[in-house]
Amino acid sequence: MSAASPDDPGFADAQQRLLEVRALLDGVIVGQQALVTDLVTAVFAGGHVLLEGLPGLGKTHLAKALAAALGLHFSRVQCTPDLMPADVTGGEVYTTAPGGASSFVFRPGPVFAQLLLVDEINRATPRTQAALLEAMQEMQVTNAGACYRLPTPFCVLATQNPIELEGTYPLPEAQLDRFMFKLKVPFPARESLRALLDVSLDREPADTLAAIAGPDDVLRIAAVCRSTLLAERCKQAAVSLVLATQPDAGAEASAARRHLRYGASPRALQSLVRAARVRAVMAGRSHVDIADLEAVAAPVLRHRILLRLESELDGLDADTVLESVLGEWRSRT
Amino acid sequence: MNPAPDPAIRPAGGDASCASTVRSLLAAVRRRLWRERFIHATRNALWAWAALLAAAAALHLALGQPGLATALAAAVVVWLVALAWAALRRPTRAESALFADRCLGGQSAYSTWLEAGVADTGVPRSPALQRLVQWTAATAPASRAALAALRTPSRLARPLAAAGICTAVAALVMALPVAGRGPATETVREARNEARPADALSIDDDALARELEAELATSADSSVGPHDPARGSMRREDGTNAAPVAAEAGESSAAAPLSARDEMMQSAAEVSGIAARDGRSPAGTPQAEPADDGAGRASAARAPGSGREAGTTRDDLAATEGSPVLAGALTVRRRDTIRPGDEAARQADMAQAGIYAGEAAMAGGGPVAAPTAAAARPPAARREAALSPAEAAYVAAWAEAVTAARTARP
Repeated sequence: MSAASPDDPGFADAQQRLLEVRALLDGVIVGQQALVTDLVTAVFAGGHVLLEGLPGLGKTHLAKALAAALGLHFSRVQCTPDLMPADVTGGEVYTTAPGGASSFVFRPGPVFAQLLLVDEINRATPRTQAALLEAMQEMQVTNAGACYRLPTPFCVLATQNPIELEGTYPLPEAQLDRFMFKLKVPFPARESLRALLDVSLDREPADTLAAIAGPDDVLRIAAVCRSTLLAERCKQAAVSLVLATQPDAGAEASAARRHLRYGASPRALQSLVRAARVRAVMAGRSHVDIADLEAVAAPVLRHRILLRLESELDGLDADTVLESVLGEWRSRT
Repeated sequence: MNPAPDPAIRPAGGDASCASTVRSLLAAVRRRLWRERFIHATRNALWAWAALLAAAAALHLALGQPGLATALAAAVVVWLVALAWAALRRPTRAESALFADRCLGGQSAYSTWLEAGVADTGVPRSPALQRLVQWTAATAPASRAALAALRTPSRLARPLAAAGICTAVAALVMALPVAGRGPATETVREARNEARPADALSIDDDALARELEAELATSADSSVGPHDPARGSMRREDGTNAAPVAAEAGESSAAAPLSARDEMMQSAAEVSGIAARDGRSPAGTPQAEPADDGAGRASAARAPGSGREAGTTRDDLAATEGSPVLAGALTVRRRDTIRPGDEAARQADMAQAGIYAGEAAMAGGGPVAAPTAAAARPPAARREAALSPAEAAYVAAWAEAVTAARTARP
């Protein structure tokens, strides 16, 4: 079912393009297949991604490669404590025209891109972080009473370092909720490290990467993914999964009651289904299965749940608790 | 579920056949699920059958009810209810699609196919539906093969064995005779049933006494001479019979014929046994009811005529702090039968010294003391003074016979 069929060019072509993009990125980012798949899923689902990993694991490189593969306009913001909101969104500058007329003209910031890489976002001040809120959710920037639409597609890839927390400003829950996925960049395996030497020792593959799709393709594939069918059974399963993270949801969430203070939001439910749809198209289906929901559950939910202090002291993290939550959810669906 | 139709997508020519393929698959799944429900109902019915018959057998052991036919009828009703339940719960198409999605590799396609209405129209209205129809049509053969390869164990062996065993046990229990069951309630009822002829027998105590008297008269007319203290005679000078305690004391050289004495002992034991069954003392006085009245009566009823075995062993007496023989009444009768100056007879009964308490006045040649009234309540049994049941029964029978003979004599 993976081959394109002349009878339904939409789904077959979408699946083919998705698989091509993933394969291209797999060749650039060695040994991170799951990470690449999740990243492609989030981009085509219209979401933003928070990448968390140690320095040197290729987060920035991955973002560049993705932008190059999809032919998206790429920009980058390196966050520091003295970064101002106008440095991200842009601002009005006083300009004198060649004819001698002077006026304030809005000069767009780096946020006006199709793929924005916000590097080390937790080093920016909360004020600057808040400037991204409107851009990420409303796809627009308001400056001096005027709204400026962001280009489409628009995707924010933010990175953060989990260990260097001194002098950082952890993202507030409201801003975390804007990210569809939180992806953890794992350390590559031994074979992947060996292969990395062959791929990227003498050259930067992302710089020479040829685009295999354009922004229009991205929008079209995203539209195809949105047309994916969703059975009532899968809707109920998605709702059950979100409810399973609520500590006050009753007997449906015993693991959440033990370990969680706050559960996932309704926005998480939307992100869950949107991401599952892309996964279904990747699998060559025009309908969502519960397995698709399960596949995207961890990246969608891990940054939207808040652990109890006791669980954190016990050494548990969000992924461990989510495993328990998913175990309960699997037994019910 | 209602995506915008893509004009570039034309309905495929084979969509109708694809839909029929999926329909046939869902029908097969539906039949399979229905059959499994029948098997499940059969399994439950067998377990219920076994439990019902086991309970019926236990009830029958305890209460005597119900009978085998009633139990089998109830089990059949349970069986019919289970089968009717399975017949009425025919799987729906949604349940069949859900099963196909979960167990046959459907990946939610069949549920989506049903909900999208492809099953009704047969023509997909959007690219997504068209893709779905193609996908399900491509997956249906594999799902059908998986359905054919799916082997769900019926698990009927255990309930079948349990039902068979319980049926056999119930039939065996309910076919047993009543006497062989043995619970206390049954035995009590049987003891009560057997106590009714004992009442009739007790009426014949007088007849038995007359028979004894006749026997005594016969023995008096025999060659046995007058009272011989050395031999422990059975007859006294005044014509009354001597206390049989002498014979009980092991005097094998007694002058009375052994056959007559054995008959008297047997008759006295019978009287004692009858009285024990009747719940009275051999002297006719109501006996104090022991705590385990039913068991005592039952054991007495099982062994008619056996005095010691009829629940009147010494252990029983000590345990119940009472004696089935009214010592006071026996003493009265014995005093009544002993005349002053019968030194030999008194010496012969020295083993029963307690009985002769207060006879010093009689030994002085005074008038015979009037019989004291029988105690309303039997005194506590004492180990050293208590008569054995056979002795007590014998003495009681003897005394009654003598009294009856005396009253009958002008």
